[in-house]
Amino acid sequence: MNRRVLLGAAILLMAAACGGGETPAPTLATEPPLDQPTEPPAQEGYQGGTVSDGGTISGTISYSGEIVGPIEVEVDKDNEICGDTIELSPIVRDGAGGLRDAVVRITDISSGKPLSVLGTEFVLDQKNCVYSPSVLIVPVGSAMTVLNSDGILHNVHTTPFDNAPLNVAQPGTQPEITSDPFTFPEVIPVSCDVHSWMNANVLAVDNPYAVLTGSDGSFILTEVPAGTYTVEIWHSELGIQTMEVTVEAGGTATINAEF
Amino acid sequence: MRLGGTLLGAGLILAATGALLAFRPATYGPIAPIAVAVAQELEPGRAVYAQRCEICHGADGDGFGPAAAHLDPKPRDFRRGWYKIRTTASGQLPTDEDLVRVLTLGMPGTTMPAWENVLNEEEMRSVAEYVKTFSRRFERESPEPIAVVAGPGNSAEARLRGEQLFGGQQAECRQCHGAMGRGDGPSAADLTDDFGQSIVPADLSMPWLFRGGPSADDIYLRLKTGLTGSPMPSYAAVLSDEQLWDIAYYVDSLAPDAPADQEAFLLAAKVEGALPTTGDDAGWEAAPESYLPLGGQVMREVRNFTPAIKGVWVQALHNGSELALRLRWHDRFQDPNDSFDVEMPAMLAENDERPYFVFGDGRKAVNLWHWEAAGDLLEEQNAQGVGTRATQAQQDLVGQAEFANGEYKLVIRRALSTGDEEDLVIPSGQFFPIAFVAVEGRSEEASDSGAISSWQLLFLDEPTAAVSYIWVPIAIALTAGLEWLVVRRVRRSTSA
Repeated sequence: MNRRVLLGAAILLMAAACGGGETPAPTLATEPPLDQPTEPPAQEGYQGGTVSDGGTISGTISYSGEIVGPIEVEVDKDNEICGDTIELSPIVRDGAGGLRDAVVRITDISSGKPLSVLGTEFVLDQKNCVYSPSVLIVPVGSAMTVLNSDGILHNVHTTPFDNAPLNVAQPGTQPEITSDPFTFPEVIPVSCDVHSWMNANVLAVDNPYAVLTGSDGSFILTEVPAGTYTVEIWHSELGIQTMEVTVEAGGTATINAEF
Repeated sequence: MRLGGTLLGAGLILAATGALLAFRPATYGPIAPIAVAVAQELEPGRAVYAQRCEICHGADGDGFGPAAAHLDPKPRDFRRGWYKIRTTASGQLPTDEDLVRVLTLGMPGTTMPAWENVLNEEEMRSVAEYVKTFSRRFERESPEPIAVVAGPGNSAEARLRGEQLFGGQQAECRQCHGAMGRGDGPSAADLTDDFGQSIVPADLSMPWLFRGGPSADDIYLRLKTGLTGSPMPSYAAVLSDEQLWDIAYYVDSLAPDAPADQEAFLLAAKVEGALPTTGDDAGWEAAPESYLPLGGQVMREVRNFTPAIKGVWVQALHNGSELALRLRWHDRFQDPNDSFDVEMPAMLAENDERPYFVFGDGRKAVNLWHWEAAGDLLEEQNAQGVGTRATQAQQDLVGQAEFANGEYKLVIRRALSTGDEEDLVIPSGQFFPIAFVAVEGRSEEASDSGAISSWQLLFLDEPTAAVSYIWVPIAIALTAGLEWLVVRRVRRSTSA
């Protein structure tokens, strides 16, 4: 009989023998808490260049479900900077249901407009003890600049899968910190341990076809080479939707998706 | 008859086995072996891992082995390549030497043992190679040790600078670690590690529990690299090496002067006059202080495998008619359900047999000097086992508790002989059993399920009376005199 089965059975018997009876369910977490993606990240590079006869993907993302909140957090430290309560609104939509701060992006495009159209500075600010913006798109190969506008200790703490994690202290004496460049496309949570309500997300992307929806839920991706692509719509609370989109040369493909 | 007996025996064995197998709890990880195909060069490491590591760290390296449910901190989930004790920059993978070091020395304050007397270096290297395969980051990244600068040497000036950095705007360590470093800072309460588990800041005044070692060199490295997977960040980008060393020297000074060795017994010094009433009274300087580590109460339900309170410092004084105890323990979170018990047998047996240390048993009762934060209650109780506490009719305790900066100080006084027949008559000049129980209310420990010590021995000192020193010279003089008489007699008889 396999030794490990015997060892496990022996431990169970000893655990049973030691106690006065059945062990109640352990109060600590009993599930493996994290998931691990099984596919290694794509290694092919994205080629940026000129796009002729590019098309457009545009539309509106909306949410029709229930919104609980805003969540009120009572602040018990650094009140001079953070205030006495912080209101968190993870899901924001306008009167027509348009969902703000969703990210619409193409996940499987290998050439198109250059990555540099996303910009050269990617800034995350810590102001009044909240992150601004709460979703930041950063191309791989670029770093993120983190500002501390509060003058008190924050720490910049990321928990990615494939990128190297980051956890650096940023006291009030350090108004600006630069991360290492991101190397893999993925969604990276950012949080502060000093102020546990502070949470944001960085979307590291490997192509420039990634955009945040506006306050009315609308978005537009321009200069998309003609072809068929997988478009992913991501929201920090509502999850992910994927769909296939075909873009005609010079044409407009419309996506109206609802969470 | 025989066949019937054999059948009965077989049936009983089958029934017992069935009952035991059916008892297997569904919430634990898999126990059955999981077939793993690995490259041939990884096979020795895989074999070591299967035998030594899998029970905690799991067959998939996810930290979810069968033993993990009762452990805090949890065994490491290796799949993200996040390691706490390294010599590499924040966010980087550990080097092979980092992995072998942790295997060799273990991680104090956790259930990760030191393997140096069990595995040889080749086995440790091979299991480190195998553990690396759980995270694909090891295929892509090549970690390099961070540049370290030798410490300029400990000094009072360095410690003072370190203290200012610790509390000041440049580092704000106290935000999590607290003003006195006991892990009780304003941000200590909601921390979680990167695996979603609740975590608390280290109590910097108990360095024997530091995962990476207690020395200033170790502390400097932790500040420089951060503890990946936990809230502790790296300060390398914002402080110079000299500043990191200053903080390391200051944190090193927070440890107690004496090592936390357990004494063989507790001594209550004898003093004249009234005994101290508060924890800060100068009169306590006459009493030697002993540190007792506490372990979880795992004998009776509700069993507590992860007690919050790690130890208690004990001082005792008596004046011939009253005993005073000063108990000091660290608790990060003041909570109305915090409590503490001093436990003694209700009576001393002729044969030194003691009650069961977990609150007594059916044959032998214990006295409990019970303090709880709610209502600042101090009362005498009796117990004969878990869940049998009963408040005594006659209350004889006087005492007070204070809490400051993550530390409780509790002073309890009682007359040696109270006239209450339920109370132990405390003997002086004689060893007798005493035990301690500390409960942290915030982690919802029940009053019988806290951190407990086994029976210690308390001795109320009785100084030797001066008159007894006279007897020895008298005895010597008498013996010498007798011997002289005998010798003189023998000489006379032989010379005659």
